[in-house]
Amino acid sequence: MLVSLAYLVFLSVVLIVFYNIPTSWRLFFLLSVSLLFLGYYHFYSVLFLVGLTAFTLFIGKHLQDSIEKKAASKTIFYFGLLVHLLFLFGLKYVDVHAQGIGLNIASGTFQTQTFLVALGLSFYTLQNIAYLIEIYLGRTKVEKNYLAFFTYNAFFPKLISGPIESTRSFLPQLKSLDQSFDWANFNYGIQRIFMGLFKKMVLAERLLPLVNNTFGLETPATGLTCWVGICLFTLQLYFDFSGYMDIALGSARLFGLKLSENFNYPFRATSIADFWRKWHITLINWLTQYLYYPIVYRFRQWKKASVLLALTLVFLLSGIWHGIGWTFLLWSFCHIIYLSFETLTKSYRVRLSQKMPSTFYTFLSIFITFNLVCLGQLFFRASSLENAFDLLKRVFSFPILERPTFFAYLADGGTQEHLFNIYSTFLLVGLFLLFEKRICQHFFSENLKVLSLFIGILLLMIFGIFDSGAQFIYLQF
Amino acid sequence: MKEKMNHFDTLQQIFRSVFKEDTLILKRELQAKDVAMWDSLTHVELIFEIENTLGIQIPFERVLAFQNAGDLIDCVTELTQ
Repeated sequence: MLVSLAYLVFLSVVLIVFYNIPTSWRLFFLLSVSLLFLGYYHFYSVLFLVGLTAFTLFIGKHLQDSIEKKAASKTIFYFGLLVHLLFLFGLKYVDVHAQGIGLNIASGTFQTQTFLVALGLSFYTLQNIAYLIEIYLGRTKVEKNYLAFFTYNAFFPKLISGPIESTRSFLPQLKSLDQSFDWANFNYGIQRIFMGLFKKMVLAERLLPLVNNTFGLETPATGLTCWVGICLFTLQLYFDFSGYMDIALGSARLFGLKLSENFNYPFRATSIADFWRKWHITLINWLTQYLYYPIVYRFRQWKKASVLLALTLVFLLSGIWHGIGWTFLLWSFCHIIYLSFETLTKSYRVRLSQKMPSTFYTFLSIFITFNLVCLGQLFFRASSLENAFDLLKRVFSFPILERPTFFAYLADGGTQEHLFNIYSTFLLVGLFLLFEKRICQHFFSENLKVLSLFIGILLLMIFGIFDSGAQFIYLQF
Repeated sequence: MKEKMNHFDTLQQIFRSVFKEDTLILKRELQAKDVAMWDSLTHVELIFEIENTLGIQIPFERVLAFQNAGDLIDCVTELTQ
């Protein structure tokens, strides 16, 4: 959606109009183009978005009124929550095309071409629930600017896959759209969009066939080759999702709006807990704030058990949010086990870190964390449980290392052209990861980096894959 | 003032005991990133120990808002007055 010439043309036209209309019209204009954007891809999604947003405003107002009158606010709150959960659960998991209505367990597994019933629902539903909780706890007042609240949910760069914004950070920005065109924002915006396109079209798209070959049922890869293929999926998902985020954040910045960061160099994480502070940050923040902390606080007399209980519930819910299926459940269990282990061994690990050279300990921690994350992602990506266990079996089957044909299995065969493609992909991905922080700091700047942008576009044209037709992976959630 | 100092000493003892650092010096600007053992688990233990020792109950909203040890000290001082 965000990677197409059509999107860039749409964005340019919207931007030109945005800065040339009276400032009092801008909010209405942004809402209109956002709904148009959504309707272009899926008309019925507009109805769900408008309906659920109007419902949230309605419930929010009645909730606050009942709190002020000290009436039965609990019933209204839980009703609002229930309706959102029903829509979230119903639209994501009930297969309306099946004979009768039943849970669509089969499509809960990883399919990038799944039919989407209501685009963006998973993301704006969480925003709506957070809004109702904040009103219920008395931490925020009901939003009286309905136009701003509708735009808060519908703003097109973040509508489909987030980031999940809080009313506190995003609504005030929408209510003051009176800034004039700013070159600093423009430079930052286009450079960030470029970085997103590079991550998606060069890195993620080049990794896609290698990952598909690994996870394909016919794959003959074994041992280390198979494990490398499994690890490549984690990299592909990262470049795909963080690339989308770069385009979303860059697009928003062109309008002078700042969206929340969703990634913070996750492959530098030294523990699984650290990884979750760096990966899909806005979802994890939501789960931490509205699920993890309340559970831990409620059962704090249980000490460690309260944390283990909260971890279990948070990751089960996160798994279900991604999809219903055994593979997602196993992904959840992996992270529950990892984090429980980390929680229970914290003091031992702190002592160990004091006895080892710190650089060695850090590298070892990063290596172990990355491999554990990849193991979890194996279940996230596998098309079925059989597929996942078959791949695991292959990893541990001999020979572990087939040197002459090591990467051939990942590369559609072993011709020189295929192998050249694979090695150039590894080189690009490896160099990018090695210098990622420096590259991002260089490009995410308010100063225009003409030469770097020129070189980057040249690399994009040479190594980019433009005709795969693949969607962003997170569109399906 | 004396009571305030006593609370400070008590809090320092609790911090040392929960985070297993006998030499830890409690300062207002102390944050989770400054203490190796300070994570979500030990944070819960810290709150639980403070509540039990001082016989107070720290509201959930206040727990969420703590940015550093200073916020916690202020909250405890307020609740024990």
